[in-house]
Amino acid sequence: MTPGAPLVAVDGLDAGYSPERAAITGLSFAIPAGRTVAILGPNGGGKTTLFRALLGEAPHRTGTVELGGTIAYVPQTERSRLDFPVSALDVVLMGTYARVPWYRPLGRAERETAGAALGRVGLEGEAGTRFGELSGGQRQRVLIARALAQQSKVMLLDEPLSGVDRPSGERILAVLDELRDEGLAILVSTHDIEQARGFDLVLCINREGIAFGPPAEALSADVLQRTYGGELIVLPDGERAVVVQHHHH
Amino acid sequence: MLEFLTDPFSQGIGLRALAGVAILGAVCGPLGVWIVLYRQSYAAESIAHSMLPGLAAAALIGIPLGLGAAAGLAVAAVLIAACSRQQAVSADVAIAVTVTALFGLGSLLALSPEAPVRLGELLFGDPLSISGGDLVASGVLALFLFGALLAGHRPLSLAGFDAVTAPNLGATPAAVGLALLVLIAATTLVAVQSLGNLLVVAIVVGPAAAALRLTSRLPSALLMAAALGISSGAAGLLLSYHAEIAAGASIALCAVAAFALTLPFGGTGAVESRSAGSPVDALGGA
Repeated sequence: MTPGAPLVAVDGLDAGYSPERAAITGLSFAIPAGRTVAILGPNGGGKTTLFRALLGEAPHRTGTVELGGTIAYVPQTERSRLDFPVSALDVVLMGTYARVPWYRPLGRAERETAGAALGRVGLEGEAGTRFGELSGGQRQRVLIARALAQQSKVMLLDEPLSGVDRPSGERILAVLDELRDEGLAILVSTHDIEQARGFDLVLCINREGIAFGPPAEALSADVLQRTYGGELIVLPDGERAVVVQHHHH
Repeated sequence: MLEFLTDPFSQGIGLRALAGVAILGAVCGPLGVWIVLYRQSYAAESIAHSMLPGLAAAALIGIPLGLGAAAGLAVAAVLIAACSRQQAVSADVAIAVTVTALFGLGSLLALSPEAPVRLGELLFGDPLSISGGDLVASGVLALFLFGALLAGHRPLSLAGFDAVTAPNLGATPAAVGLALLVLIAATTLVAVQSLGNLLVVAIVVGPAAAALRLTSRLPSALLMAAALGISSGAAGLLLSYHAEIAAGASIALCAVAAFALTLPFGGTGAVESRSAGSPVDALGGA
């Protein structure tokens, strides 16, 4: 990829479980290095499918997805196993596994990478704590540290701020901004329209691309209506809108 | 006191039994940790039970029991896969029906007058019948299994802890799950001869479940499970010698007792039935 080329370039993407059941169709967008991107869309609107396509894991995919580097994924902490006998540092070390041949034990370099990643999310003091004993917000930060340890150029985060305490949420947003400043492309799916305004770019999808651009342009009332349809409620002041959340965990 | 400990092993038969169960305990313990973490205890039990007709048929024909057990396993796998394909039957029903049917068939074969081994030996095993050849087979299996667990340690951790992200981190959960089943089958194949069809699961799951209650880190759980597996084997042989009860059953009882003894201690969660990642957990932790 040439210098200045986007880190994530998606063109004419159709993806889903099969060609007949494509969850997204005709999606195109390009994200340069050093941007944070909020991805908005209703449940079933294709956010998860888009992530799987970017990760190369969608069962069906046509169109092109070009990445300017490796990609790291941060799942929702609500899905993680709390009963697994691993410490916070053990979890972060998992981010280094792919770089170490199976016959070579993890070395000091991996431990330093993992320790530094844990420090970046403010959890160096919890390195030895069992993952399941951490708070939801701390667990989310550990999973972000694991992605940091992968040392990727692109990071995908699946609703990293939902169900997370406020100090953790602020810490997470601060880390994402730091990573952006270091030239990473950060893609964050979210339900929170107000939160999306704090990102550099917003991508609205509902089975197809509705809008992509800076929040001031992309988050118009018309776009939100087309993105969320009946799930959207515009507040009486006519400016702000909230999404009725349907949790299906 | 010393004689109490050494008497049972003063002759070749006792020594071979001790070496055999020590090897099995050392292998089954760490494997059991992964089985418990992957919630595959039921699969382990089903695999053991579905071997019975193969074992009995091998005894009738006069071929090595291991060969028969392997054939029995293959038949069970095909039958379970075929049943699972029926939309009307859920996987657990398919397994239960297939395994019970095979188990019944095995009992029929083993109870036939021509059978050279009694049903009891197939069901409950006989560590005291371990031969030099059996020891070599167990040793080879142990080396293979230790190698597999070492080489597979990272994929097993990745897919067990977080199957959603595992592919991004370098492991394929479906392949890891299948590999674990193959390891369970290989272990059962060798262990079933000394510990028997009904009891082999005890030495696999008992020490592992105990270890997971006592420690909250994976490496220590694996080592502790091996130590508890060896201890259960040795304690079972002692118990069997002095109380004059069946050796296989004594070992199984000791393995289960190891787990029972840990119940008063605070568990780390892996063996509790709490469903991981439930919304309640997420709320409680936030």
